[in-house]
Amino acid sequence: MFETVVVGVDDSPTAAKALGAAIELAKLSGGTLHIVTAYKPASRSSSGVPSEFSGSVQPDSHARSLLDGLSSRARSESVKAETHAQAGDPAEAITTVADRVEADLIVVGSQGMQRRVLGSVPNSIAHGAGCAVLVVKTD
Amino acid sequence: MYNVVVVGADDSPTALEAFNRAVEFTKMSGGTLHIVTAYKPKPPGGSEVPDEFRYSMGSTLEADVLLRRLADLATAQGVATELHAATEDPADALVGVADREGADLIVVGNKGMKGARRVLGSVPNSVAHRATCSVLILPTT
Repeated sequence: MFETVVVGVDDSPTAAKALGAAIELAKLSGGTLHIVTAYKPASRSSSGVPSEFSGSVQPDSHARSLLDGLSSRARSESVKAETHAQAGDPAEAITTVADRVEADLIVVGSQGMQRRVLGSVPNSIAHGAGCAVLVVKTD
Repeated sequence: MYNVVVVGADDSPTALEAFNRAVEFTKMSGGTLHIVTAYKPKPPGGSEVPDEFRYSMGSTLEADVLLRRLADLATAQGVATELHAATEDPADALVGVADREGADLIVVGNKGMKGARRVLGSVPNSVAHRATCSVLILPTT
């Protein structure tokens, strides 16, 4: 049912729960899991790279090691996983990757939904996505 | 993982699309599908039925017919169902049934979630914000 599942993560407990749900669903439907994390590109002053090239700067080691850890968790459950470190705002990062890989499901944690915060990540995704969205109860 | 799944239903094409995918999902997860429809009780026109009986005379029949029809579709897929006709507002009905049944998941169509139709108070929006379980929002628009 869900061939291509995208999950947004950071190093929070809510993201870990969302990942768990995404792994289960990818396993149930035999799909591929795309794990996405957003990072802030290093600033010009610290990296020496002009801002117009910041998109091509390698993601920081934090993002890489987070993705490595989480993708091995998926693979240990026999789920095919790909990782994406995407510069920019988390909601945008997730929907950008979802569009690129033609996802049929995006999984996000619910943290921030009930407080009705405009601009919260799950809220923006639920409103902006072109595919199914699973908001996993995490709070 | 998703043993108790709640889905909302009315007689619109988008609701039917969401329903069919909810059936597919519940079949995949091996759970029971709780089908909820909300209806506005209206007194049958012209008849002299006392208020306290109007629920059983008004649109309850339509709600029951709809629920039975959808239950048959689910049963044909081998999915177990329970049926709920509620007189509350649709979002209240979905969240209420989900809470009472200890649901793991509510499935809704995304009608009203995107773009110009991003209306506060739309059913998927309200459910996504108020649910105490996970919510699957399906693209049906």
